[in-house]
Amino acid sequence: MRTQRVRDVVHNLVEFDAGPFEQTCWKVLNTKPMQRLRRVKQLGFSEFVYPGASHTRLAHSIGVFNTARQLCNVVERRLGRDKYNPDKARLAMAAALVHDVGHGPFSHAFEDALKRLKIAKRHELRTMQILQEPDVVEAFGEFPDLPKRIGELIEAPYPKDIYASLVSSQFDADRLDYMRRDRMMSGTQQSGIDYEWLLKNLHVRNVPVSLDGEEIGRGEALVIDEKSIPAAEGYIFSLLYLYINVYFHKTTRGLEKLFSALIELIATRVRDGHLAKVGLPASHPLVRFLKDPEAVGPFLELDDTVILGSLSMLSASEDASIAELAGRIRDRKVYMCVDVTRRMEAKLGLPKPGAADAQDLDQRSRSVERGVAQVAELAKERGLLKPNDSGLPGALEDSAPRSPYKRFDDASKPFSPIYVIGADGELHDLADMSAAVNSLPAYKAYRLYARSESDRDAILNLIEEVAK
Amino acid sequence: MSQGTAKDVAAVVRAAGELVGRTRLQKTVALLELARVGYGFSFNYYKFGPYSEDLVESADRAVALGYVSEEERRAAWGGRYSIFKASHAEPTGSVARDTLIRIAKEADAVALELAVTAAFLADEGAKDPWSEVESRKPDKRGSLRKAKELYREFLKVEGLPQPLPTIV
Repeated sequence: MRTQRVRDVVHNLVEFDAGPFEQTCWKVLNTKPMQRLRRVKQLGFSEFVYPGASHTRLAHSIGVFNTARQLCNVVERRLGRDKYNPDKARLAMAAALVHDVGHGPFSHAFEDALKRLKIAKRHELRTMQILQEPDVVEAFGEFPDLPKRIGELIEAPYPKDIYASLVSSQFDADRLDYMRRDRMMSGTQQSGIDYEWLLKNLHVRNVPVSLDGEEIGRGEALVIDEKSIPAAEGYIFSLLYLYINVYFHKTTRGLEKLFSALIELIATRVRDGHLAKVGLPASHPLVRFLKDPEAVGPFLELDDTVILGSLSMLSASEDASIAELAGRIRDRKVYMCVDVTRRMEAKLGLPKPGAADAQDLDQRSRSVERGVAQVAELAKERGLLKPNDSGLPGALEDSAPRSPYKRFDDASKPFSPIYVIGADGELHDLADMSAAVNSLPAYKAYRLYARSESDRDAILNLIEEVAK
Repeated sequence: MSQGTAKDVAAVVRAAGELVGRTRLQKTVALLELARVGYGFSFNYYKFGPYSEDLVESADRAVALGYVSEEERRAAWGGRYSIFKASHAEPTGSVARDTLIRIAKEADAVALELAVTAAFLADEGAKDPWSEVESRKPDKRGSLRKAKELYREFLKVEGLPQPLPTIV
């Protein structure tokens, strides 16, 4: 047993010490399912926009492990050694290390396609399945109960104790790593967070969990004190700017939509018995996976390189639609983007000189939202988004509403607020203590991507019609 | 992409008059889809059970278009939630659908979540959906009896094109 060291762009030196637990983590890191993450990029198609953003989910996983370890140190400092639970801390660190092992190629774009095909297996369930793989079970050797416990922790509706919240909450290790790593590797100069200051000012508190306004339980979470409100504001705004600049960049999203359409088309052809026209052999990992999406073996053969490597074969497919989509992705020929929100802002969102309500920002914002909503509904009603007879869509839709801070209950995730210990010693929602966060609107991009000039004209006409 | 639209969300809210909470809206529409009296919204399993991103977007659009309103409320203990309201109550045109919406509107939030989650898991092929719900949501075990009672109410609704999974 000896200490293992990894140089990391975000954390510098990440060590796996000579003790049994961290040596076990090192072994897990070296299993086939974890090494597969070396071939799954953290940001998928962002590399087509930010050439430096080619970092992998393996590097991110190591970063999340290290961040979880640092957060465990925070918890130990706050709880004191007597109350600190090393066993649960080990569980959190191990879960942090393997949390992404269930990601497919081009992660979210692939999942979107599988959801539409109704063959999606939830990321968490896939993770649990992979954790039962023989080499993973063997790697966990000295800690044989960890795979099952990690599965339970990931699957839990909300974190019950502070260790679990290190893996799933507003200040979880995942986000604290990806925000820093994605910023650094993309090269965007915004979105820096005051990491060290946040860590120094985190506290452990018991917080409520709610469902439609009813308190349905309690959990433990990391909360901040008043000194770190500016850092928390920066954290929230940094996330917003990552959405705008990186995650929802129009070209990245356009490529993701093409990729989802391509996977759906291939799956449909395979399902309908037209594999010969697809352009891939029956032994290709994608074909094997689509024929048996529940099985873990074919899934683990899939990664970004397998997909990218198949694009040339697919672009020579007998099926013209598959050939076009594959060629477009390979050559970065994205459908033409019509940013409906931007166009509607230009038409309805700017103050009109002389108008009585010229300065009424709220009213103008509502007009823009209404206009965008009308376009979205009409695009659906008029069949703009329906594929043609060959399965090729004339227009692709990208709707990306994301709120960097949710004040409302969110029907998908509990545990959304950041709590602040106020001067009265009580916990308060950050939005109640920060005017900046309170006034922060959700990021809502709505775009339509057109295959041809005529498709683009149809979209532009629709916008004109609505904005009249 | 789901087939459901903002108008469909408005129809559900109008049938209810008002619906308290985004999760309740999700579970109500998921129930309609399970009973095949829905609007074509597509659901996947998340932390609180069946969840549709498309429904969230359509609900936001229904608010933006003025079909329904969404009011933010704060509970006595500090938690925030929203209420979807219609300017007027109006049946959807299907008595069975309206009855399901009415029962869901009045139901206990946790019982509704568990009941619809169990039906969703059964629809996806789970052999013992209640045990699965219990293992996935052990902290809500205490509400299982109430959830089963609620589900019996749903099963009593007549005129559904396809019966709900018989799991109680």
